Amino acid sequence: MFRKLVAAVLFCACLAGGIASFPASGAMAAETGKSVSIFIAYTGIKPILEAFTRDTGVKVDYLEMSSGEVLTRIRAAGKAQADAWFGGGLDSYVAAANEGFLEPYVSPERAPYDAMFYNAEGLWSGISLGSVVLLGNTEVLAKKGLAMPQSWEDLTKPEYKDEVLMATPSVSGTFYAMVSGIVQTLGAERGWKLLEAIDANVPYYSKRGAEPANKVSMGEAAVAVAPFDTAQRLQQEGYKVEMAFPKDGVPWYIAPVAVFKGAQHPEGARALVDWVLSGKGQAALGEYNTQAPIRPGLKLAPAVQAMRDSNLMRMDVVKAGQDREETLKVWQEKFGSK
Amino acid sequence: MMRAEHALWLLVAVLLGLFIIWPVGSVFFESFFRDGNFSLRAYEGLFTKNIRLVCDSFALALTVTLVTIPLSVLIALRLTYGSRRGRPLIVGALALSTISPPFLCSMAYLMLFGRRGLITWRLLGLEWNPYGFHGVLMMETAGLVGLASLLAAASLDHVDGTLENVSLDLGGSPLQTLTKISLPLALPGIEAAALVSCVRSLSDFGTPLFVGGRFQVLASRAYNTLIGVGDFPLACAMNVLLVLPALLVLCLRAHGERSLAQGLSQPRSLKLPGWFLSLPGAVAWSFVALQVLVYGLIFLGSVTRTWGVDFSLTTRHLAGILNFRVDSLVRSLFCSLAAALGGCLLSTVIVLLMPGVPRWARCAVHTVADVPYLMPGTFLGVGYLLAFSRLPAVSSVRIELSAGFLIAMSCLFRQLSPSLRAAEAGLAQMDPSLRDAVRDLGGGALNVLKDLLLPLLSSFLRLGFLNAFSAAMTSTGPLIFLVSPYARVASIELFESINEGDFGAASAMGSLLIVIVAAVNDLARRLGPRSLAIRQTAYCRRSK
Repeated sequence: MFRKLVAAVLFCACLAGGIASFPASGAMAAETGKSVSIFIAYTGIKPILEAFTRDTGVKVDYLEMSSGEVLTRIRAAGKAQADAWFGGGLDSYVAAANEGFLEPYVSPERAPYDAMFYNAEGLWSGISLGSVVLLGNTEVLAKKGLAMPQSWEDLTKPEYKDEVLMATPSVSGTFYAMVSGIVQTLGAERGWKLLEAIDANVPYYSKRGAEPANKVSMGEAAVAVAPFDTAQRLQQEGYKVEMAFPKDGVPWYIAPVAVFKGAQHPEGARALVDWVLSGKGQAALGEYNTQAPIRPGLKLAPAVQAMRDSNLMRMDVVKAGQDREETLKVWQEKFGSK
Repeated sequence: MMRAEHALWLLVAVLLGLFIIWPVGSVFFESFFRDGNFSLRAYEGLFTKNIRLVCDSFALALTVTLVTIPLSVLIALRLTYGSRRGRPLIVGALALSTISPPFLCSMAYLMLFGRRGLITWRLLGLEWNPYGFHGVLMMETAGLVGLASLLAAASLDHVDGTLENVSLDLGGSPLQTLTKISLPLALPGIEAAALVSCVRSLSDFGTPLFVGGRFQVLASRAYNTLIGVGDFPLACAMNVLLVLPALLVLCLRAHGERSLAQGLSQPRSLKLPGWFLSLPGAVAWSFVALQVLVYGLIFLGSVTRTWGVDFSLTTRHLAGILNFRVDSLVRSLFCSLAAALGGCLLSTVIVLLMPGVPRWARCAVHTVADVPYLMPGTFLGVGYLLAFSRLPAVSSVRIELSAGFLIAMSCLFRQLSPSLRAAEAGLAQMDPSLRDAVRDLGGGALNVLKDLLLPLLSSFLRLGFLNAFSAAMTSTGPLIFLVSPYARVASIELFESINEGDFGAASAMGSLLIVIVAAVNDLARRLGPRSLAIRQTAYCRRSK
């Protein structure tokens, strides 16, 4: 009986403690004037948002979520349950803008930017530039006697059979950028031919975008196609991985920011856009994330500068977003069952 | 029927309608509309184009069940008839394995047994490829054996010992008694275990995504169609392919009365021969070893700087969560408690109401309760979003409260089907004459409930509670669409860490989840009704 009583008292104490701490979370932020809620798909986001709150006094509540998931959510709910959208694939932003989920906002801070990096009506603005690189597991490469591939052409060599990991481009902006970049620069015929040749070495396509790099860092395969920032992070964490910019062209993409229509805190959302496009915000991005900030005249870290200086493909990212459905259809027909 | 029963039925109907039929209906409704216009395009060639996926899904589910059930029955035999020593350890490992944090266990299995796994590659030097049908089969089986064994063991435990004695006294050998008396009598629980395994495997999309490689099933393809391709109507229509055949199978299984009325369990005198018990023992202990490895890896990962690179000890992963993520943990705890307790209550009410209604009504309740369990979780989440986000009443409540409420409800109704089956398995093993016996001894309706039904159902209800609570704590599928920046939950945080490839943060969150679920489970055990035997003797004493 005594043990039961103790257990009951403990249980009640837990409940009471929980109730006491429950409303404290998030709720306060929602009610004070200066706050913003964000859907995010961006690495190194925590210190970036802390810098934002320090600089502007705006409190942030955020949820990390892939842009495909965000798009599905706002379609199902008929509205966004957040004020702003930060990072992720441009194609999702283009689709959301077409379906009327984004609120136009022309930030005064966007003046110095090249017009190719933002939507003229202000539906979205590019904040940083990411690229697609090759990531190899040094140990596995050595064990198998393989050289680190240096180009897309290298990936077609038969010795990499079943050792190349990629994700389905429909779930991953990175791989969509790769497919679209190769098709845009080589032309449809040569581009798809190259992709088919690489496909011969791919055991299967991962169904989540982050997986190829993670699995290669675990040694599950020798080479992954990976976003530059992920490759950098894995190296910094000490995994035995190496990175190569493909010699025959580095595909790239931009990470955008946008304000949702019907935002509960539109001032907060606009403050976020202003800040992230400003010199201060761009510097913070450059410091905590290894994508390249876009604002001209900014000093970049050496590794990031190397990425900007690498052989970036001549591709049109907005066109890539517009052509998405068609390109994916072709991809699906060729490799969809893998 | 009494008026109280009418009122309860009405309540049950309203709840099922609001939290199952409406959201699920919205998902199917979506499949008929393309760009706002009525269209059947999603259904054009749906079956012929996906026939392979349908076959693969059901083949996988069937194989998983066929492998899981024999293993579980063996482990249950070890628990019931094996030596007492080591029993708590086995039960602990089984219970632990039912708390599987999303993707984290898959990742731990890969780190141990993957292509470059700690054991398969570094230790044994094996070159093997886990990606494909066999990988999904093994991982799903490993995840399901725990719950299935506990269900089977609970059932075996309730087999009437006197019947075994009769068989032995009449000259039956121990093995004959086992195969002809004990196992058939334990069938309701074993059958429930089989159904749970089959259905879970059907609706699981995470494992095929993670280790399926080229092998994909309907659930994972529907997920990709929804999230990747963004084809809403087609993705919703694919659910029909999954849910309808599965429902058909469940309906064909007779929901009729069982003639397996049994008494209260008696001291067991059935002794199985030692040589026979060695197989169940070996299976049980291998399972324990496997769980020790997997969960050991998770716990170690949570205090290791970067697994595989820098093995120095650190508290930063745990501190990171305790400093910044406590609100997510607390919200998870609350929503899951509400979901599990509510599920137990609702399933008890339904089970007790069931005998008073015609067969078709019972079948209807079952069908409705099964649907959310059969659907891939993602789509249940989408259904809740479709149904409730357009309600002004829900939108005007403070966002973190309404989100929390929806999270709890989605977990409750998603796990209603197993809770219901557990409660039924308990009831099926009760001799109806016991009810009369209590009445004859002067007990009222309340005594029947308090002294007979609840104690009898309690071990099954506790299983239902454990299952629902840990499922809710670790659920990601439906919750991806219900969490908001103001209302985050622990399982989604874990999912994000896995996506970032941060095994340290993921295993830290996973360890905390495991500890919380284990603690709550232990509390539930202490708070629950005392064991049957004690109550039984107390009752006899009182009535004398």
